Order: sequence, then structure tokens, then C-alpha cells
Amino acid sequence: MKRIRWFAAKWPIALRTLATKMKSHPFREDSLNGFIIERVRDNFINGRYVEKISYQETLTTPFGDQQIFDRTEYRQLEFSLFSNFPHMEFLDAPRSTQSYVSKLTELNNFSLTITPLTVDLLKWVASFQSLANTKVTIDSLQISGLELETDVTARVSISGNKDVREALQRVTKGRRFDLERVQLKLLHENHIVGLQLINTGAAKLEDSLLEDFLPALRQSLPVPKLGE
Amino acid sequence: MPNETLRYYATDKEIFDVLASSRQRVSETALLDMARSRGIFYSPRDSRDTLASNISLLPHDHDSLKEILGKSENPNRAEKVTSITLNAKISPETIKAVVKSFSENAPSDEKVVAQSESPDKYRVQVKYTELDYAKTRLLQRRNREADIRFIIEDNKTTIRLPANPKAREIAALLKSGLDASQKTEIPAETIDISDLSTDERTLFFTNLISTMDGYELRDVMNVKVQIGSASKSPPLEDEEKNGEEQEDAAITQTMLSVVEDVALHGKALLVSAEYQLLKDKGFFITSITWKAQQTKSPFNIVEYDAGFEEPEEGRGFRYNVRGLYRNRDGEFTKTMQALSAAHKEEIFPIIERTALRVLEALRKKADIPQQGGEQQ
Repeated sequence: MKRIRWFAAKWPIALRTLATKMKSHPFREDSLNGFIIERVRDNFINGRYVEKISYQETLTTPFGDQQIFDRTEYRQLEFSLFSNFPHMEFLDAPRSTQSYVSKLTELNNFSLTITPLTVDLLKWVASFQSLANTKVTIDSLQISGLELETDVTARVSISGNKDVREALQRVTKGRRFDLERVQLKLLHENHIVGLQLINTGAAKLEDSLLEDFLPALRQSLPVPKLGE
Repeated sequence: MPNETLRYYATDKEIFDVLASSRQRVSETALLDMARSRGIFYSPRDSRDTLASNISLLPHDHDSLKEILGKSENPNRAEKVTSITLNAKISPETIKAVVKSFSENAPSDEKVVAQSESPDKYRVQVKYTELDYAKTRLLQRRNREADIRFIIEDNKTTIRLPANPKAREIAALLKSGLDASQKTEIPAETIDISDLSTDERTLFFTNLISTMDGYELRDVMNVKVQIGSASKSPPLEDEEKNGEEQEDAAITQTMLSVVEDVALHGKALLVSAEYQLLKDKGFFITSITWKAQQTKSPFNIVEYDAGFEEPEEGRGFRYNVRGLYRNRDGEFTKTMQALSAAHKEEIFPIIERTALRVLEALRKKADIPQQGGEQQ
């Protein structure tokens, strides 16, 4: 399973310039963090940000002695940067991206803007469906903040053996709600495969599907309206 | 000697004011506890006012009054510090002599304790009383302590002091004493960015947080920005000077909405669309709170803040180390831990050195990577 997440960003400098700067902060054996850049085009950078995390682990033996071990861990963040929307793509990002974001903003002279996305999932599914040119079924979804009555909201997860979009319409009946995640089923190379979309601009899918679906998912991601 | 006993003549009205005024520290629970320690049980459903009123009517001796006053005081009042760098090596003996004459001439309500911590460190503690007439009477006079340190290095001496007017006054007196003893005015350097343009002021902060020795920037949580004077409407004085003629203009001007400063709180603020929008509109940073991680073992994260006492003028640089997030097996503690004074003293010089270096580089417009024509 791969997790992918997209962000909108405003690049203050050209991506080639940024790539050069990233290359001047490479990750080496002796560095604490740095970039490993794989591919650079005028409108695209692909690479990894590596963080070396060292710490001491203290272990108490059954005899009450303390043993201290030096531990080292590597955290990697695979990213792609694009000059057009969606500007930033993370693959299997670690929980904290703080270090990467601060490094990136430093390289961009503190003039970089990164905006997390809020995506209308139904729109995303519709445009993904027309791009992938195949019938897509939403077989389960999760909504929150469904207003049952004043000051009472519900969190609902709906699943079925068929498309649940109609059921969603009936359940919500024009009330306010937030669609948080949807699970899609579609026919791919004679197999039914599944993938998940999340309203923060993220997707989860099997590694084997990545190559076939990633471009379409990226391209179908609804562009946020100005001011959002 | 001032009459110390005067302070302890407290009427029930005054005790009530103290109890009622510090809502956060003297909570309902604290009030109930106070009464319980005397063997009195009030209802937990009583309102704060009723509790405060009841307690204030009880007899209070010196100790119980002291306890109330102690409770109403903020125990971890994090005072920001500032520093003055004297570009001369001053011997500890000279400092000792100057401090001695200072303590002899100190007003009667000030108590000066000075000691040499190591051959290159000298510490002067001045205990003084602070008056704040805006407070309720019992809280008007507070005992404070100004901890002033002299750090003697090769060619310079740094005076580190709490960033408050009283400490500045004491430091100025000590400095003039040093001047007199050296029979020359010792060149003093303070962090003052009043001569820098608004863009450079922002650069001062961004370079400060990103180029600290041994630390790497992690996050920016608070930023205060202010609009540059160039982008501001004409100052109010002009309107007053020209009197009635300008009255109409003045009226229209006061009706216009003007945002002069904005405080942002959050995470990764410098990449937020909101901050970038303000920056593009000509706002510049006047104070900042950030987290940085040590680049050496134990790789802890330290939280700092820095800003200016006079934000618009860019004078009176002050800073603080707010606390520490410990690295526990690669993960950081969720809550910030306070730092000991000794630990803080180790970190302050890094901020001071970085600030001086960044400022010097900005003045020289020398090779600072963040500088150059790449900015949009």
C-alpha cells in the first residue's frame, strides 16, 4: 500500500534553480539530513529527503544494569515537485514533514507558500473516472459532521455491494456534511481493484497500481479555487 | 529603610481584590483549598466572588498574606533577556570595583549581591522593588530581581540582562562606571536594526532562525508582522498640524480600514499563504517564536523567541529560550520542559552571536545565501 499526498505551492524560484540548491544540500554519510535528487526537468523535480535520526536507547537488564545503545534511523520522504498544480507530491511521507518543509522554505528564501488541500471528493472521483475511461464504483465512504438536528452531528460510514452515492444522497437529504474518504472499485486488467481517496488531497493504493493510476489521480485532482 | 510593615496592613477589601483579580492563578479550587487549610469547608458550588469575599473576611496573619501574594504571582514568569556587547576586554577586577561602588550608592530599597562565577563570568543580582499603580494596592509593590551577567571573552565583554527598563537602567549605570574606570567611552554594540529596510528586517529574523550554530530550524509557531512605514498612510501629526483645513481629509482617513500589525499563531507559519500574502503587502517580521533541533547529541528540540521591544523602530532586541522537547528514542516529548538557568546561559550566547553575525552580514550586504536577486 502506498500513501500519496498532494499540496498546492507557490514557487518563488524556477524549479531548476531549486534543484541546484537542493543538490548543494546533498545527503551524505556524515550529514544529518539532505536531498537525493533523482530527476530534474524544467517543470519537475523528483527526489528524496533523508533525515538521519540518532538517539540513545537505554535498556534495563533483568539484573538491574542499564545498557545504552546508540541507534540510528533513516527517515525518507519521496517527493515530486511540479511547476503546475498539484505542485507537491509526497509518497509515503513520514508522520512529521517539519524538517523537510523548513529546509525547503530556507532554500526558497522564505518566500515559499505551501497550502494543504481540501478536496471535493465527488468531483475528484468524477474527473478521475472520465480520465481513466472506466466505470468507477464508490463502494464505501465516510462522512462526518452530518447535521441531524441543531447542534447534533453524526459520523457515518456507508458501504455496499454497489455504488453508494445514491444512498448517500438519500441519507443526507440536502443536509450539510463533510465527505472525508471514499473507497473506489474499478476494473483494471480484468481484475477488480480498489483505491482510497481522502479529502485532504491524499490517496492510498496498492504499489502495483501506482504506475497506471498515479498520473490520472494527479491530473484529476480538482484545482482549488482562488482564495481557498 | 522603607517601612516594610506598611505593606502588610491589608484590609479585607484589599485581600478581596487580590483574590478576585488573578483569576487564573487563584482559581476556585485554590480558594477552596485555602479555606480548607483553615478547617473551613465552603461549597464548591459557591461563586468565585462569594468565596473570595468569605476568605477576605477571615483573619490573616503575615504568613497567610504572604501565601496569598505568592499564589497570585506567576511562578515561571519568563522574562526575556537582552545583551550589550562591549568591544573591549575588561578585567574582572575592574567590574568588581565598579559593582562595589554601584552597590554602595544604590538606593536603600535595592540590595546588590555580586559574585564571580568563574574567571570570565561575573554575576550581579540586584533586588529591587517595582511599583505598578495600575494594580490593586497589595500588588502595587513587588520584589523583583535583576540578574545581570558579565561574560568576558577575548576582545569583548557581553553584559546580559533582563529586558526591562529597570535592568537597562542598572546596566547603563554600570556601563558608565566602567567607562569612567577606563577613562574612555567603551564602544558598546546592541542589536539595533532601526537603520535596516523592512525587507532586511525580515531577513534578519529569517537568517537568525536558520543559521544558528549547532541548531537546525524545525518550525515557526508565532510571528508578529507590522506594516512598513512606507506603505502606511501619513502619520497623524500632519493632520493635527494643519488643523481645520485638513479635517475633512482626516475624517476620511480615520474611516479607512488600516491593518497595522498582525500576530499569527500556528505551525510552519512562514510557508502559510497568509504570511506570504502579508509579506507581499509590505509587512515585516517584528517578533518570532521558533523551534530548532540540535545537530549534535542529544538532538533535542529547543524553543526560542526573539523580538524587539520597539517593534516599529527595531530597537531593544530581546530573546528567550522558552523550553526543551527531549528526544526520547527518536521521538520528542509532547510537552515543553523548562530549562534551568545554567542551561539557558549556555544557549544565550548562540543567539547573541548569531544575531550579531547576521546583522553584520546584512549591513555589509555580504555573501548571505538568502540575499540576492532571486526573491520575487
